[in-house]
Amino acid sequence: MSGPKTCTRCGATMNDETAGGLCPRCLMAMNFDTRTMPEGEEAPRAATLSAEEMRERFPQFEILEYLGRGGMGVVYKARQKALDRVVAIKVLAGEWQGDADFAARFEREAKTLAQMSHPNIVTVHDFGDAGGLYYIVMEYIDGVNLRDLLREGKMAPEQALAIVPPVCEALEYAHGKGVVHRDIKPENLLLDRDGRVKIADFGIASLVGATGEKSGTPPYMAPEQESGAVDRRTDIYALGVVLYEMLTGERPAKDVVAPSRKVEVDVKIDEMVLRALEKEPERRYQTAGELRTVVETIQPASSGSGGSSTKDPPRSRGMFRRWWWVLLVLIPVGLLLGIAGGAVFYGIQPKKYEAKSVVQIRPLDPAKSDPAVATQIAAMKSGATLSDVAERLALPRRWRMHPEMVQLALRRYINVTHIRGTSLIEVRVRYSDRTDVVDIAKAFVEAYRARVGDKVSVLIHEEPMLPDRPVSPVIAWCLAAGAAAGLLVSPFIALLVMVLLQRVFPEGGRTPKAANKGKWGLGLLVTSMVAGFTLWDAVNETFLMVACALVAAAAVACGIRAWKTRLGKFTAVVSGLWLVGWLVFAVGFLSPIGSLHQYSGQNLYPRLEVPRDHGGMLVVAFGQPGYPELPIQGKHQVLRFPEDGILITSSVPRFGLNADHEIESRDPATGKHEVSRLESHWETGGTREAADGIRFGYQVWEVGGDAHWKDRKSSDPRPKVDEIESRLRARAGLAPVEAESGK
Amino acid sequence: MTREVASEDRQPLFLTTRWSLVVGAAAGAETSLEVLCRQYWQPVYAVARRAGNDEEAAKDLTQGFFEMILRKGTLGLADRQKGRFRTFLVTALKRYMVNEWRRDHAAKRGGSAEPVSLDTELAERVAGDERDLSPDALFDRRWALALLDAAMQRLGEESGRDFAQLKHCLTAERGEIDYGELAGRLGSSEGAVRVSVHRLRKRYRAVIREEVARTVADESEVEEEMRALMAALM
Repeated sequence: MSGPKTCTRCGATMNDETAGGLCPRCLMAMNFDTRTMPEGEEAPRAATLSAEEMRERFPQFEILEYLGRGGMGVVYKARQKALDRVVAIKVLAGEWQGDADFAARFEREAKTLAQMSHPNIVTVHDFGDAGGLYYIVMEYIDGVNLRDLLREGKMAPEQALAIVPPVCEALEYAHGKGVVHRDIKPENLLLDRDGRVKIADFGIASLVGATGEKSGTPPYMAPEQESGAVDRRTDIYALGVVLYEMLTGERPAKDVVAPSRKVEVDVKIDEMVLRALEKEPERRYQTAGELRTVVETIQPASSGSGGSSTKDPPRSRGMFRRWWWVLLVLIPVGLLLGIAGGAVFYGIQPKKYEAKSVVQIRPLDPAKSDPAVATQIAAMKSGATLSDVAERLALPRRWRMHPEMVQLALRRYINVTHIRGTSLIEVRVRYSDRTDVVDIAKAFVEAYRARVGDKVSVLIHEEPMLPDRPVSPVIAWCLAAGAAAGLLVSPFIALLVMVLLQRVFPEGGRTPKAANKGKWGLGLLVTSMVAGFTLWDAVNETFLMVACALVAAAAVACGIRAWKTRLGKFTAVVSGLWLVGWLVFAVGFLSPIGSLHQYSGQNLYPRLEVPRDHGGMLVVAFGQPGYPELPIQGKHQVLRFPEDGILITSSVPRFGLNADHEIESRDPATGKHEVSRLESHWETGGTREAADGIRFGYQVWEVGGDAHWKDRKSSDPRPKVDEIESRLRARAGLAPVEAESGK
Repeated sequence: MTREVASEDRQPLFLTTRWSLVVGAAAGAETSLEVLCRQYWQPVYAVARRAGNDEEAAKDLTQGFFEMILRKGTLGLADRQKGRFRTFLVTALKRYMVNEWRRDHAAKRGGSAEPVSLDTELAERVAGDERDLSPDALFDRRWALALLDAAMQRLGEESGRDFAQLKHCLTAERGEIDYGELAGRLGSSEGAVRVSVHRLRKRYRAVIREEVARTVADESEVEEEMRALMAALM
C-alpha cells in the first residue's frame, strides 16, 4: 500500500485506497465538463490552455486573466492591443479542426451575432479560429452573473422583476432578427457595475449544440427542446424558469408550485410566472414583449429620481430615521432654554417682598380691657400713621412723589389684619424693595406706637425680618414653568427642524454608525454648553461644573469616535475647546483665591477678594458718610482685603447681611440693589456710636468655606470691637475716643 | 469501503434505495436508510475521530450513532434538513455528539451492536492533509470521497477486468493517453479502446449523478449537491 501521493494536474492529495486510486478532485471535476469525447475521436481538451499557448495562438491580444469555464468553453479577459480595449475571449471547447461544416456554421452564426447591437446584449466584436480553436471576442462585462446573485439566496421580488424587462427587450430584439438564444440561464445573464443586465452567449448554444447533443441546460430547457423544436417561446420558458428561481431561490419542480406559495409575492406574479412556464408553447406568452408588458404592469419601473407622489410615507419614515438625533439635541436644549427663560422672566419681573410684623395692643392700664381689634386696626391704618411713616423714611423725596400719593401707595402696600382667635395683629407689607419693605414695616409700627404710646402699649411679638425670597414671583415656579414650556415646545421645534433639514439635505444615503456617534456628541456638546451658560447663574455649584465638564468630555469622545465624518471632527474639536475653556474657568473658580461672586449685570458691584488662608475673619466696617473710602480702582471695585483684617468702605454702598449669608449692597443714590453670596457660614456684627456721635457699624464673617462656626473653638480670636473702632477713627483722622457699649 | 458486504447483496438493492424514499416514508424507506448509512459511514467516523476520540471510541461513537439513526429514522429533524441525506446526517451527528453520545457512553452499553460494519483501518489510512479542515468541511470531504468510492466500485463491477487499466483515462488530459499502448495491453484495437474510454466516461458521469440523486430528496438538488461536493474537494 503506497502512501499518499500528489496529483500532477491539480496538486490534490491522492491515495490508492480511495477513488479507485485516482485523484478525487480531478475525478469529481470531470462531472462539470459537458463534453465527453465524440465517438471514435480523440478526447477533446477541456481547453485550459497554458499562458504560453494562449500567447502563441492569440498574438493580437494580451491575455490578462482567466475568467472561468462555462459550459461551452473557457473565457479569458484580454486586452486587444490594436484598439487598446479590454475584451473577453471565449475559446470554444472542442476540436473541429478540418470540419468544414462546422466552420461554415460558425461563421454564419458569428455574423448573425455581430448583427446584434443592443444595450442588453453582450456585443460580439470578432470571431475566428486560431489553429483549430474557435474563439469569439466579446464585450467584457465587469460585474457578476445572475448565478452569483442567486447563490446568495433569493432576491426581493422588486429586484427580480426589475431584471426581466431589459432581458425581454433584448429577446424581442433578437427574436426580431430571427435569433433564438436557446440557453437562457442565470449564468448567461450578466449584471455590470451600473446594474445593467446583459445577455451573453446568444446563439452559441445553437452553434455548439448542433453536433447532435442536446444543447442548453436541462433545468432551463423547455419541454419541446427535447425534440429540437426551438423557437422564441423556448427562450420565454427559460426566462420563466430564471424568474422563478430568482423569486423563490429554487428551480421549479416537475409540478410547478406557484411562487406565492413559497415566498411572499403578489398573486399577479404567480400568473405571470406560471404562464411563462407552460409546458405547451402555445399557452405561453408568445413574445417577450408580452411578458415585458405584464411585468411592467405589476411593477411600474421606478426611475432614478423617484416621484414624490408615491414616496411620501417612506420619506417621512426616512426623515425620522435620519434626523432622530435632532430630537435628542433639541430636547435638553429646549428644557434648558425653558429654565433659562423662566429665570429671565423671574429676573425681569418686578418682585414683591413681604415683611411681617406681629403686634399686640394692650391698654396701659391693666385693669382696662383690650380695645376692640377692629378699632385698633382702623386706627393703625389711618392717614396720620401713614404720613408719619412717609416722613420717617423720607419717602416723598425718595420716591419722588407727592406726599398724598405716597400715602395712597402705602395704603396699598400695607395690610393690617387680625389674627383670629387671638388678640394679635399682623402687619404685612409688600413692596418691591427688599430692605425698604422691612423699613416700612418697622416704621409703621413705630409710627403707630408714637401716636398712641400714651394710651396703649404696643407689644411687638414679631419683628419684621429681612425677607430672603420674594413672595412673587416664586423662582421655583418660574423655573418649573419654564422647563415645562421648554419640554413641551421642543419636540415641535425639533420636528420643524427635521423637516427643514430634510428639505435642505434630501436623501443623503445611509449614515454609517460613526456618523451617529458624531450626532450624539453634538447633542451632548450642546447640552453641556447650554447648561453651562444658563444654569450657571441659577446654581453656583461645584457639582454642576463637574457635570458640565463630564458631558463635554463625553461629547469629545463621541466626536473622536466619529472622527471619520465631518460632523465628528467638528464635534470633537468644538467640544474639546469648550471642555478646555470650561476647565480653565472651573480651576479659576476653585482656586485658593476665593472670590465672592455676585450676579453679573450692568451694575457695578464690589468684589471682595479674600485670601483663604487668612485667619478666616473678615470685618467690614462701614459708617456714615464722611469716613474715608478706600481707594478703588477699575470698574469692578475690587476691594483688597487688608492685612489687619478690617475692611472699611464708605456707607455707599451699604452692606447688609441676612441669614442666608448673602452680602447685599445697595447704592442709595441709584437705588440699585445687589446681592452676593458669601462663603462664610457665620456672621455677627453690630453698630456702635461714640460719644461724639460718630457711628459706625461692622459685620464680621468667616470666609473660607470649610470651617463652620460651630467647629470653631471659643479660644479662636475674635476681633475686638474697640480695636476696630480705634483703627477706624485713626484712619479717619479722628481722635480716639472712649467707646460706649453699642447697641 | 464496505468490503465485507458481498456485491451480490448490493446489486438488487442498489438502484432502489433512495433518500427520497426515506423522506417520504415510502415503502423501502428502512432499507434505503440502512444501505445509505452503510455507504456513508466514513465521514461520520472521520468527524468522530476529529472530535478527539481514539480509534475505539470513534468506532463506538459511529456505531452508536448509526444505531440511533436506524432506530429513530428522520424523526426530530426539520424538513429543510431532510432535503439531502448529507445535511441530514451531519446535523444528526452534531446533535448526537452533543446530546446522546455522552449519555450512551456513560451508560456503558456492553455488547457492541454493529449496525454498520466499519473498516476503521482503512479510514485511518485515507486521512490525508485534512488537519486544517473544520469538522463540517472534513465531513463533506469524506462524503465526497465516499461517493467517488461508490461510483468507482460500481463502474468496476460493470466494466469487468479491463477497468483497472481504463480507469486512469477518466482523469487523463489530452495527449496523456497513449491509446496504442493501451490497446496493446488490453489486447484490443485502438479504435475499440477509444470507444471504451468514451463510454466509460459517459457511464462514470451517469453513475455519479445517480449516486448523488440517491442522496437527495428532489431531482432539482442534484446539480447543487454536486457543486457542493466539488467544493468540498477543493
